[in-house]
Amino acid sequence: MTPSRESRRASKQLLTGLLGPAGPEVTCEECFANLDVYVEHDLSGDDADAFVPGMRAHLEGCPACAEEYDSLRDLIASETGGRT
Amino acid sequence: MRSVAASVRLMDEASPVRSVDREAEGRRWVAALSGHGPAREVAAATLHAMLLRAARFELHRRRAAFAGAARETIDDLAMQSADDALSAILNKLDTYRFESHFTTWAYKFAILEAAVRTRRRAWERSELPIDPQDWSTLPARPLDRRGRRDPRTPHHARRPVQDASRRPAQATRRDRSRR
Repeated sequence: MTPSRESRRASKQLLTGLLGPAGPEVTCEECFANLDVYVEHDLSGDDADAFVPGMRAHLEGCPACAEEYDSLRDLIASETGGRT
Repeated sequence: MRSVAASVRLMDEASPVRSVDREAEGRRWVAALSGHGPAREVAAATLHAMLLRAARFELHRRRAAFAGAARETIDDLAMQSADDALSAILNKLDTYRFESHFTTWAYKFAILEAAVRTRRRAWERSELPIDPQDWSTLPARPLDRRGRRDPRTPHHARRPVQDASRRPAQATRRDRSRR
């Protein structure tokens, strides 16, 4: 029996989640330590991941850190109109 | 010693219009918070007010977790978050590297504290997704003398008590390790 497209997609997502990113990834502690720097570069339009390598990969795989990133980014953006 | 008036200026300089000189702004904050006397108290009170605003911002974003909660409860959580964030900041002032605005650096502590409280509340109020009749199927002696699970235990009784996907415990462990 051939697996459906949805089944293959779910399997691929599961496998990707299990294997993790191909490149470097920071830990939750490193993520928190660099969150402010990353957010300001991001809001400035810089390539934030160039300043904190592995941050983007971590945020894509860690919902808790991603929520805090979104919150800090939105808070700073609301105060500065998106400029830092 | 920095005067009270000088410390009050910190509040103005930390307004939504951001200081161009990020490092100078940061050094003013660090000097004021590292000092003694009324100037430090003013700076700490100013920062606390900003942290309280950040905590309220975060709790508002996560308001779905507080459905039915009294306004006082949320206000209290915001105040606790701001208090703990200020304490963490004062303890970690030497880790601020002037690579971002001081206020951005400080806000992340308030957001973390508010997020931790939100997750903890969700965890405390989450229901155990187990049917009442399942309790009767749990084995009386699930482990053998070596601590291994009894192989005769029915498969449906071996499953974890709580569905991992509904449990924020992973984040909670991470939160503890970061603070």
